[in-house]
Amino acid sequence: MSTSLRNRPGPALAVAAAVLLVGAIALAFYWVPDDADQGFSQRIFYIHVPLAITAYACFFWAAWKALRLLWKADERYDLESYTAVHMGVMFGILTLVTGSIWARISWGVWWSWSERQLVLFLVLFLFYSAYFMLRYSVDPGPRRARMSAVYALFGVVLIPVSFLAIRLAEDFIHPVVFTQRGPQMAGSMFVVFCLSFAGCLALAGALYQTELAGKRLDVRLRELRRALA
Amino acid sequence: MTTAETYVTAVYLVVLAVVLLYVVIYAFKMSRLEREVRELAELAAARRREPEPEPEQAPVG
Repeated sequence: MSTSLRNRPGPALAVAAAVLLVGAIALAFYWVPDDADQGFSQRIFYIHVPLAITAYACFFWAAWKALRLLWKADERYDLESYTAVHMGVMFGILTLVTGSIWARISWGVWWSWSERQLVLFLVLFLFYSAYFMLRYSVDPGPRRARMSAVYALFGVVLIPVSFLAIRLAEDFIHPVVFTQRGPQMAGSMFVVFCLSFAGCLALAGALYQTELAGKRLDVRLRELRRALA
Repeated sequence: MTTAETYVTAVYLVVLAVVLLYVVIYAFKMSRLEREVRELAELAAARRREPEPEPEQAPVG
């Protein structure tokens, strides 16, 4: 890989995301067999679950950058944490919408308040949506960076709770595919799931790199404008 | 097309639409940044063209 690609992995990630996701969707529609229980609609799993795990990964990344900010007191991590939260919220919206469509076909309802995992994911999503309200209610500067970082770190505590909720609940109807005995699906299904998951991670990485570059440019331009004024 | 096929297709189209919407929004943002860079470059060029202020002359002796 050339130096420029290593320094700017955005384009490479975008190409990888396109190839992986197109491949995964094609295989999901034409290669994997219908699920014995859910039939054709089980194909939503190949995009819904990778989107959800990618949203969790983005929130973890945001928390890691927030921790680095508090630790090293380097403000560049603020923009990185903020961009990761933005990505996580976007993937969270997609998780909620795709899950809702799946619920409509499988359960006959768009939403079920009795499902703990759904409600906890919604709480997590709303928590991170409020991050933007907090951020824009404080003037830019080190104080805002520290407050946003603490908030992003608190949010990450909700992730294991949301992830484990389905396993802790005994009256669940939400399907459990990954158990302690491994993935409960055919080999071809697992291959497509992994391809889709890799594609979603690459997509998140590409969007993260692009948005971060745009935000950094925005900050530099603002500084330059002030200097020239 | 069965109901299941319609819903599954809808899911994948929603994901595609959101990603495309993001790209469109970002394209607008990039064009705004490009315009700002152009404006700043013009401002800097105008500054260069301005004659430099002459140094103040102080009486000697």
